[in-house]
Amino acid sequence: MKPVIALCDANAFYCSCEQVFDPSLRNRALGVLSNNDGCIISRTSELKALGVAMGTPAFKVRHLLERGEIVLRSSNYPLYGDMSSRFMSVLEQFTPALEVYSIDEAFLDLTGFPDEKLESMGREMKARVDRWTGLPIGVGISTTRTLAKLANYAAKKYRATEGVVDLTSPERQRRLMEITPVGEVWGVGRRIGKRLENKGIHTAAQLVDCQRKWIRREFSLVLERTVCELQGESCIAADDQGSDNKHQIMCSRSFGKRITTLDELHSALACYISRACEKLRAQKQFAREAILFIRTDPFRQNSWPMGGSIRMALPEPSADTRPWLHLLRPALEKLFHEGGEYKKGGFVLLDLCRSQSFQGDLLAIPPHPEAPEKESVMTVLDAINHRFGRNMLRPASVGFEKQDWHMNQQLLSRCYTTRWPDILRINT
Amino acid sequence: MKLVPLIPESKPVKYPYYRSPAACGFVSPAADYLQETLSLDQLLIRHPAATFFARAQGQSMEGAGIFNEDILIIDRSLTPKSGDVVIALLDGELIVKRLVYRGSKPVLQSENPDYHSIVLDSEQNLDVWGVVTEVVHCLR
Repeated sequence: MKPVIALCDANAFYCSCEQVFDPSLRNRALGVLSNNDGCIISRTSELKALGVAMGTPAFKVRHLLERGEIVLRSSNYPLYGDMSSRFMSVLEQFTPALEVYSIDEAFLDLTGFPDEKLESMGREMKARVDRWTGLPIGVGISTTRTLAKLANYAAKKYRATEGVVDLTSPERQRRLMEITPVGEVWGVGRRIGKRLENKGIHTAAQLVDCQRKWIRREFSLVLERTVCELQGESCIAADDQGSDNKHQIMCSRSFGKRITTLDELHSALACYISRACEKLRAQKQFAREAILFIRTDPFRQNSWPMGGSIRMALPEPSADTRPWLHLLRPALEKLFHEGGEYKKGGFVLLDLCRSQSFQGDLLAIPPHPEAPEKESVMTVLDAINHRFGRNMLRPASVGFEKQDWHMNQQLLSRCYTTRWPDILRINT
Repeated sequence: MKLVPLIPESKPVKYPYYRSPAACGFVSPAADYLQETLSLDQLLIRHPAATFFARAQGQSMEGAGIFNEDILIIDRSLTPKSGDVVIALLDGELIVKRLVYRGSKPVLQSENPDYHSIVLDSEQNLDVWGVVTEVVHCLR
């Protein structure tokens, strides 16, 4: 049977999350900043239209901010993590064969559904995610991951598609590849794109016509796989997660069996954490933020769907596995519910950076294995602040006046879905 | 002075219907009937992925049983129909009102005689964010 794969991803995911809860941000030039309010990592189409590039440092757009032409928000990972898990649960209603690829995109295996139904299914996915969560998404459907990515690119690029493209027919694939610059192909990127152009390969169609052997010799095995995928032959395995994504590292999969105890869950996720941190070190990067999630099987009869996500943060960027493992147990104790049969879990490292140098946090007490009492102090402090409001409890040295000492999150929205004091307030 | 360690309570406390004591001898015959614990989530939330909470501000919906500071449970997956209490988007702001129809015109109706209702020109101007399914009201 011909495989069918759909790629669903949210448009400007972080911005869209902000807009769901603050409608005054709709249709605005909005950007979300990386940790420490460094640079812009998510943009609405209105912000793109102003010519503000991805990765622009916040200070460079200060004049636009002051004139009220743009709006910026600090990144709010608890909110994004929760919205991501809602997004994925809605997609899971369509097929249990869902592979979460990153915080805002997932591959769905639609093999076996009739060809003529695929496009309407894609439209239903888009409509349901929009209705249930408020997030706008794009859907690309084809026969390999790379082609599904290409279909998704077209769904975003061409308005007439209304965000959904069924690219299963070879004729349509050909027509789209003829008008798609080679650099837009998943796995090509800017540098290789340049080299291809130097050899006279400008479009995806020209790339797909190349001899595989020649590609392997002149470029790499990786690019040869991309060509195979464009030709409709599946070469990229489910395990190649996040290889093209520099902003996050994800390790997630379904468990071999349904897990019902905290201990088993602990060991499964500890394994994912180790793998994710290994990848992080391999990329010579550091991370400070992460999201952990677990989920029960939504297709299981007579069982209540359970699960959730939790945001974890270190005092400063680290490439070490151990601080995350320290945080794992308390995080799981919050997420785990007795009686749940857990099917899937994952760990995502976010907001990666190249160096460990970081504007130190006044409150940052580095977690030290030799000083467990310090850590338990932090745990209780965090738990109290979580329950009664951020900074409710803080060292006296910080002062008793209410102040904006937490400089790196000046433009933070509230945790609308994960903290009771932060829920939406709506006038009657 | 005695220092009491503060252990953060991270999970809701659950009360089982019945738990067999750790006694010697025969197993309690009731152990077979041990049930799952009651969960308010199960009672109040039908579509977890589409359910959001908000706190109501103001008096205009008191007739519908929504008082100032009450917690609203909102299900976005439901299609709003006439008579539902909804969260609607009006002039860039979210409000809680009852949705009714006057002819073909949608009306966002207040449930308090001191407040007026808002008549919309047409269905196109109606933007519903979600349907309110339950209200949590504190009595003390």
